[in-house]
Amino acid sequence: MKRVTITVAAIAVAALGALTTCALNGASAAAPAANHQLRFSIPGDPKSFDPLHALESNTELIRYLTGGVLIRVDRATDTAIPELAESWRLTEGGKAILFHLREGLHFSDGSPLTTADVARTLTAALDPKEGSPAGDTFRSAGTQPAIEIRSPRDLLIRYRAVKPALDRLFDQLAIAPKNRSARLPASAGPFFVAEYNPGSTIILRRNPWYWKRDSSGAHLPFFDSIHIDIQSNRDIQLARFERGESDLIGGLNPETFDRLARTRPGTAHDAGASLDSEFLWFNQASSASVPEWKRKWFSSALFRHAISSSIHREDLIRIVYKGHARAAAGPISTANKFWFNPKLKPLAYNAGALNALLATGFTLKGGALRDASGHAVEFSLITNSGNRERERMAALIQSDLNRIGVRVNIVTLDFGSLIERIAKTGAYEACLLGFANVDEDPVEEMNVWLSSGPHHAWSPQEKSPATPWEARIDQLELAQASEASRAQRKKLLDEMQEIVAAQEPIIYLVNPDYLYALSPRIHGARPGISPPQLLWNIEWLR
Amino acid sequence: MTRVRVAAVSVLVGVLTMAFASPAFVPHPYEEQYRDHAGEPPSRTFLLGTDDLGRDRLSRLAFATRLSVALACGAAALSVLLGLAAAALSLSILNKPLAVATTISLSLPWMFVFIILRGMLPLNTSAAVSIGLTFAVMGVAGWALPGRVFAASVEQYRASEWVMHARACGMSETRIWTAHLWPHIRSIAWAQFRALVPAYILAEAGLGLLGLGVAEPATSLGNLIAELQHTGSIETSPWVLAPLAVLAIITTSIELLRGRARVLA
Amino acid sequence: MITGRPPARRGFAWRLAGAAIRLALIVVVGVLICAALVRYSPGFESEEADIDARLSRETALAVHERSKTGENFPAFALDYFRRAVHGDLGVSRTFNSPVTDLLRDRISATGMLMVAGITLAWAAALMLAWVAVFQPVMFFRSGAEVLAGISLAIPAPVIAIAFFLSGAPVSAALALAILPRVFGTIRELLEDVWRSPALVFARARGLSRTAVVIRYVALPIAPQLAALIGVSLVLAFGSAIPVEALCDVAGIGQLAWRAALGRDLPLLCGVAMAITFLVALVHTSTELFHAPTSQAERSR
Repeated sequence: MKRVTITVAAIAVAALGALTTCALNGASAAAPAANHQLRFSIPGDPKSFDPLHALESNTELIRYLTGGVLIRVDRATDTAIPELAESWRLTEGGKAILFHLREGLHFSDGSPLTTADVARTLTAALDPKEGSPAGDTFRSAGTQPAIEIRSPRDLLIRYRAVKPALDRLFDQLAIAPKNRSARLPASAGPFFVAEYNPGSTIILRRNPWYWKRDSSGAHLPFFDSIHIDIQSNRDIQLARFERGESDLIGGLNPETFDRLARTRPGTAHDAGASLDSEFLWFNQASSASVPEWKRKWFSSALFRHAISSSIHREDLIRIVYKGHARAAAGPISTANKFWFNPKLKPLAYNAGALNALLATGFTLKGGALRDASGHAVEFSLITNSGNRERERMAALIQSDLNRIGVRVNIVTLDFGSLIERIAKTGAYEACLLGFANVDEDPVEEMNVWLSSGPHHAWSPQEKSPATPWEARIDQLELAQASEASRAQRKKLLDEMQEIVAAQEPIIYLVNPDYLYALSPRIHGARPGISPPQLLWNIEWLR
Repeated sequence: MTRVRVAAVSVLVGVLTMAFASPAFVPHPYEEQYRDHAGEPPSRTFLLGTDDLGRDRLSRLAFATRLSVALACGAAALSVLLGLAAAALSLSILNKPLAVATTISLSLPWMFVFIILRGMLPLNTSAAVSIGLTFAVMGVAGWALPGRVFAASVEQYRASEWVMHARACGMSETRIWTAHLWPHIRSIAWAQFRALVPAYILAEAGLGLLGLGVAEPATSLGNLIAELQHTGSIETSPWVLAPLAVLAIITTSIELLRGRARVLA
Repeated sequence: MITGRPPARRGFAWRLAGAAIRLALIVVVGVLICAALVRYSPGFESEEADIDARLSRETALAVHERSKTGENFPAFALDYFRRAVHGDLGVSRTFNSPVTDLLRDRISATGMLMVAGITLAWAAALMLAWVAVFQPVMFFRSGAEVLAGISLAIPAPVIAIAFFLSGAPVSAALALAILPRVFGTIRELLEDVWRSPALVFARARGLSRTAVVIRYVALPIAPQLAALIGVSLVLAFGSAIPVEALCDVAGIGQLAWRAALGRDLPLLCGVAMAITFLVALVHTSTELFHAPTSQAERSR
């Protein structure tokens, strides 16, 4: 009897403990959304609210939602539309641009916005000490433009040489207030940052001074506020969306897309191929700590073709992306309708490329491919951990290459260690990574294709082009960077794409589709292919 | 009671035998990708279905079980031995420095030790070396927790009356350790070991994020269980819980294996 | 000659001073080792800007310059402790906020999560251990061990996400991580003590069960239980990191995870200081308040 008493007492203690736990911790139910509030999540904290230091996607998104720009690129039609600038004119053959600002512009704190603020912002962006990414966008061949304030509403910016797509560049320059270094600076866009709880939430409120109105004269934006949760776990993002606590998810992965299509039909959308691409490359840098015989393999276009042609891209698309991707054809995504070279065909499996390699002294015996010196073809492939699509692609590629006798050792690294290897130490052999383009115009990729560029992935910062084809690409890139005519630039970049397809210094794999989830209660979205794909017209969403 | 132990031993031996002997009777190699059968449910061809890349779940589970159990047992044994050594040293003048070392060891971000280890290892390090080193470092890093418990127990037992009585009778320290202390510490050591084995199996999965542990196409029990974090797959395909069930069976069987002298009234 | 104060009280004051010095030393050494590990691990000097194709080399260098912290490690360490004495723990690179503010805002969330998890774990462990040791029916004894065995196998992050998505308290995930270790040790201790000759003698003499439990069971195993509480705290915090990171709990564990991924040296040092202080406080307190009992026992 006493034993029973003690046992019952013990159970009671445990139950009390459990109840205490529930009382202390409670269910983590989110508060219901306020009226006219948009809710969604971003995977990490923005590094800064200073619009001149928007380096990564979270910061860029906040800048986009809050920053006022002179010109906006319509992501749906890929045309430049006026924003803070009522009108503009390209002059002097594309070397200069004259802006005429709207009347009565203000920042969210009520302070007036004039051409002086535009000039101050651009000058700060161009200051090398500032280290602003916007500065790189506006510099031209190492020189800076001259800025001339003609009136509080008129401003001229003049370059010494032609700056391609000059007007579109201003889509990336949010006009900064005087207090841009403040914790929550003012802004001239549809919203301003009202609250920030690090690691938790960001609240944006509608800018009462925002200039835009709809056709009936109502002030925009329609939403009173935006509640942004900081949540990196995709499953929790999905659960929130399914429970109605979140209104949209941008950049869904294929598994989540299929699950949502089953559980919430009509909310999951495939916008088609995006500008992004997944690729791998070999380390050809002469300074790299790669054995000499491996560097010979990596430097051989035939070797690269054999590797590329042995990969079953259709399996990558079917198994990893569940059909929500396209086989890549080259450096520019097939979704980029204007800039993509239509002569290029999607890369596909081709056994002939291996035969071409075998004809050069390589042998395939006992399931192992060996070079002419007898070295078994084996290399390590690094990629960033935590990206399930990339990890699965690596496993499929490993299996594909195993069939041709190539042994691949996959090493997944945390992002910091990966960056150190590919950008600093060069201590790697091959890398599988992806590129997220922010603009259809490939002008921002110059640093990848110039042989002296710091992002010339396979051999950074060459003192001189290592091969004739790299020298030709240098000429083409420099020519298009000073060409005003879009048609002429396209001709030059078409040839660049053909060279890259022929040499494959970077082996392009797939262009994933842009997948997103949107609540039926949200109206006005017109998804584009450049980021922010869903929110670029935030002031019109309701 | 004996029936319980017999059942536990039978289950444990059965599971481990199936894991270690599986290459003889499981038809599919663990690394082979049957891409036309990716993500399939259990069938006669694939008894536990296939994973997202078309690999047989059953053969991967068997491979993972034998790899993880063997290495985790080694790492747990290492941690327990180091903890016992620390407990023995705590009786000497090294008592205070060891207490400080224990506290600091418990507070360190061991993740960076693993990142440094990964940085020092060549990228083409063989899988055996990589996984072996991973578990060895885990074993070394895990000494402090059991060491703390052992040190407290050793100190407590040494101050007990029966040990004082033995010492007063002229018994040597070694004999006191073997005859009086070790029988008590042994059961605590066994409890720590039993808790460490599954902890290391699960912890190894986290090291994959740092480039250590098991690399493709191999897998581990920790990796298979870590995939359960993506809960969507459990609802539609409950067979993905098989690795969790195997680990639960192993740990439960080990728990039930422990000896019990008599029913305590 | 009779001295002014009783020996025991003067001894305690000395031990307290010694413990305080040891605590401070442990915190300083712990933070230094943590900082060195972070500083000299691969990836410390890397930024995402290094692989951003839009940036020129000069801009990437300027980004590095802006976020430079700890390049000169000895200077950083000296400066860090000098400022820490005044309550300034630096500014986090990841969150762009003072570390002191971040820790202060989040300590309650983590504290509540850990208290709830440890309470639940200990309640369950005590109950299961009691049943496993004293329950005469084999089914219940084995049942307790089966539950403990199963809890060993389930990873805290998996439970945490499942609980979070279903609206259950995530502290149960923490409890599940602590339960097996606590249960196993308590059960061994209970069995061991229950078999000790002194206790058998006391029971044979007819001492009441309550007196036996308190005097012959609880008190003798109190030091080990205190050590186990320290172990529980460490386990709880270790499990809190992935639980908070995965389940959106704005606590110190989430800070630690994001700081580790971002190699945020000031924040990691701040978190290390908090953890080391907590663990050292528990261990030092255990030694401090246990020592007189040992001495009294040894002198009998």
